[in-house]
This record gives sequence, structure tokens and C-alpha cells, in this order.
Amino acid sequence: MAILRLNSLIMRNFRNYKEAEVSFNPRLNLILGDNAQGKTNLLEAIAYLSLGSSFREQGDDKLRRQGEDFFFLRANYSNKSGSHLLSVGSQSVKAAHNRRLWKRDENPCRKVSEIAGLLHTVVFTPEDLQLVKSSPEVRRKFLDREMVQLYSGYYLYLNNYRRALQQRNNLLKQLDYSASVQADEQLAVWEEQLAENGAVIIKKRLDLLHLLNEIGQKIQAELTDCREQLRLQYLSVWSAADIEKIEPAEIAARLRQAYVDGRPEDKRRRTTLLGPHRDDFRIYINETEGRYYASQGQQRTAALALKLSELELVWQISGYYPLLLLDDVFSELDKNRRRELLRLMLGKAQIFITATEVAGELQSLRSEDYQLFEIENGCILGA
Amino acid sequence: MALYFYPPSVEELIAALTKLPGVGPKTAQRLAMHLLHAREEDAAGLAEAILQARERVRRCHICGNLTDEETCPVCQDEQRDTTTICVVEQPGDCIVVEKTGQYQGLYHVLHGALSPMEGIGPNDLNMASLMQRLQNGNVQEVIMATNTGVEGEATALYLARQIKPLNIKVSRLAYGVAVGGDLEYTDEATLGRALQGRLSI
Ligand SMILES: [Zn+2]
Repeated sequence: MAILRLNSLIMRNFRNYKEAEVSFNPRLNLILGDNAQGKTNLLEAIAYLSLGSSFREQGDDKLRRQGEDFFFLRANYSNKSGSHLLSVGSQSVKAAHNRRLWKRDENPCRKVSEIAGLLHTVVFTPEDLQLVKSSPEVRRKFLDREMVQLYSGYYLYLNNYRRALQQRNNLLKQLDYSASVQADEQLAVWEEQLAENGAVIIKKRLDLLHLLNEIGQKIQAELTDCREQLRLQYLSVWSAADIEKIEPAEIAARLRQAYVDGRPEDKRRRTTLLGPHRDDFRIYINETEGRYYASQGQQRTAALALKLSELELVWQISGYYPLLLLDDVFSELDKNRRRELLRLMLGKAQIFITATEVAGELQSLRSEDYQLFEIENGCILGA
Repeated sequence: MALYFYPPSVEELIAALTKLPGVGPKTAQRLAMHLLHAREEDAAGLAEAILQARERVRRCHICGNLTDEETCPVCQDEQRDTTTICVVEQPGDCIVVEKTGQYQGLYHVLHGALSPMEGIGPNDLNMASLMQRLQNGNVQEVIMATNTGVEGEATALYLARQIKPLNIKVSRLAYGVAVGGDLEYTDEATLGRALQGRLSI
């Protein structure tokens, strides 16, 4: 079986770590410590190497240790082709301007898309536990974070889309209504960029959701002894039932039309109101919409099922399980859900758990099955 | 204890160098030290070269490229194919295209790309003079060689739509892999292929 394992990590000037080198257990790593000591920072470093950015959505300026002008991360990891190195250095050039250098096995990479997903991670935070009832943004992030790692081109489409969106929104803010023909000519060229890139984004999200639907049904049934059924449905500009069957060119055509039709309202509100940046997916539990009608327990089970489905999906597509990073979320789960999670993933995915103390089921693990780390003020004990 | 800093004159030099694009505080310090250690005539030569270039250089009244004369050498060259115009964002991009050895036509330099974020609209770019050049009926093809990022694409599309009523063929460079890249960073072989395999837009 192909595997993905993070063997060790070097951090320099990253968050509150001055200089640290950690070797990890191939199965389970328990990262303990009080709050604000640097537990999440360690997971953030691992995820940075896989996503090309912080899962806490913060810029490099925030990631550098205070008073330093660079940070450096290097992972030694193994996959089916052997042992590899992945590193990133981020140097502050000017205020809010950083120069980043990615290296894959010591060879420089020009684009983040070349490295995204090499060290594939699935991050599970307390925010993800709210996946069913939280804002659409959280669900979009869930899809996009996975897509960036599964499909190396996605990053580029997402970036192009964001950029074109910023440009169109800026244009809407500057518009002078006396020159509306000229305004439409200018809006149109940004809409074209939005439609071209947005169509790929929507198509990829649809494909991902389709697979998640299949896997999620099985896992939800397993987690609930077949009592609960899970179903997902993508929501876009148009709410057509045929959405899964349409081709990117058709999606682009519909998007193009949606932006044109949206112009009057967009001009009034001075922002782009429609598009994949506003899309969402509905989560049905037993055919009723989960965010309104499910209990908190049901919502949490569905969130866990979706995360576990994400792991299975990577295994189905890529042939290995991604690293599972559980940030302060394990203790949030009840006993049954904790046990299920370990039963399904331990020994398959390499797991990293941050917690303030060793919780129940972890105490019964054999000592060779896990490694304990204690974090205190940016120092890692037990490394 | 008093801390040691560079003398004010050196600090001023460093501050001036930091204003250059792509130069951070550390590089600026290194450059300043280099300049201070350089021979007197080399330092003076650099200062003079900057002033000379600034004084002499102007935009070609036809294509907008930088030149020391009224009209740039390309626009003056009677051997060039005057039926084709290659539209680029920056003067440096012309040099990149020239180096491929695959292009014999003329150029038009926009001096930027559309970017509402930076307050750059059609009137801030060298577009009007391009439309004027196309009026005489001599030009048969316009090749859009703007960068492949969203700004470059939007700019190419905007111009293509303006040119369309004139019944002139507009084509876009068919880049191989360099999607999202600047022309400047595209290698010559890729660009040479792109020039041969351009697409109609
Ligand atoms: Zn000229």
C-alpha cells in the first residue's frame, strides 16, 4: 500500500518557534500543552507546506517570529517513490511584500501549484465541526482546500478568479454612471476572466462533491448504524437539477450571462454579488436540511463523516491517505465519535492531534503506537 | 550605550535605493556598500548614465517604445513587415520577442495593463494611438502578446473587442505551459513556438 508519512520537520522563526527540529511517529502524534504555547503553530507549519498558505488564512508577515525578517520550514517525508524534501523560505522584502522560495528535493519551484498537495493534509478544526451550520464560506473553504491539493491547476484558477473579482469590484466602485456603455465594455472583460476561471472552479467542486456524496453516505451510515442518511447538493448561481451533468463550456456560458444579468444590481451595490465566490452546498440529513433541522449531535456526526470522507476520497484518487491534522478538535468529540475516528483512521493516515491533556481512549494505546510531545513556549519536549 | 548607525549620507543612499522595485533593506545596504567601495569614476559613471538615459529617452511617437530619437529603430526600419503589429505591455517585452528571431513585424507598447485596483483604465494606457495606427488599412494582423495573468488577458480581450469592427485579424500568443506568467520570464524557445502557433481571438 502506498503511504504518505511526515518523518521530520524543521522550523526556523516560524510563529513562536525560533529553531526546532521534530521527528514524528508514523502512526499517531499527540501534541500536548497549555493554550498559546505553540501547539496549533506546529500543525500550521505542516499545513503551510501542503497548502502553500496558512489554514488560519494569515499572511506571511504574521507567521514570522516577531522581530525576524524571514521564516523557513523544511519537511522530510516519504511517499511511494521514497524519501523526499520539501522546503519553503519566506523573506520580507518590504512592508507586506514577501519573497518566497519553494524547493522540492532541493530544486527551486516557481509556482505554489508545483508543490501544493505533495505533502497532502486534511486539517480538522473546531470550525470544521460547525461545517453543517456555519456560513457558506466555511463550506467553500472545505472544498477549495481539498481541491488545491488534489488538482495542481486549481490554485491557479482560484487565484485568477480572486484577482479578476478584485478588479471587477474595484471597477464597480469607480464607475461613473454617465459613461455606462464604456463601463459595460470594461466590466465585460473582467467577467470573461471570472467566467473562464470560475467555470473550472465550479466543475471541479461538482466533481469533488459527487465523490464526497458517494463516500459520505457509506461513512455516515457506518457512524450512525444506518440511522442517518447524508446527501450533499451544490448550490450555484442557477439552481438547476442538471448542474452535475453540464460541461465547463456550458458553465462558463451560464456564468457569463449571470454576470451580465447581475450588472444593474452589482452597480448599485458596487460589488459582484454572484459567482463561485458566493456558492455553497447543502447538507441533507435524512432528506431534511441539516443546518435547520438536525440536532447538534447529528450536525457534528455529519461534519465528522465529511472529514472522514475527504480522507477516503484522497485514498481513492491518489492511492494514499493524507496526513490528518486534528487541531483542538479531538477533545470536542464525544467518546463514540473519538473511538470511530481512531478505528477508521489509525494505521491508515498519519495522525497529529493537539490537546491540553491525554483524553480517554488515547490512554489505552500501546506506547509504540504513538509519540507524545509537550509544547512549552515554543519549545518542543519529547522531540 | 550609544548605538552605532550608518552616517546620515549613507542612510540617505540606502533609503533612495530601497525605493527601487524589488530592492529590500538588506539588498539596498549591500548595493550602497558596493557603490561606496567602487572606484570614483565608476560611481560617477552610473550617476551620469542614469541622468543621460532620463534626459534622452522618450517614447516613440508611433509605437510608444522607448527610444533616444523621435522614432524608434524598429518603426524606422524599412525591412520590417508593416502589416503586423505585436502589442506588448512593457518596452522590455519587445526585446524578449526580438530575441526569438521569429518576428519581423512592428510593435506597440501599452506601458501597462488594465487594472482598476491600481486605477489603470483604458485611457491610462497607450491604446488610442494603436487605434489610430489601425485606421489606414495597411495592418492585417494584430498579435496580442500581453502577459498571461488576468490583467494581461483582460487587456488583450478589451483591445480585441475594440479592433473587431475594423475587420483586422487579432491573434493571441498560444503559450505552452506559461499560464499566469509574465512575457519577460518566458524562455525564448517557448515564445518562438507561441509566435508560430498563435490563435485567433
Ligand atoms: Zn516605434
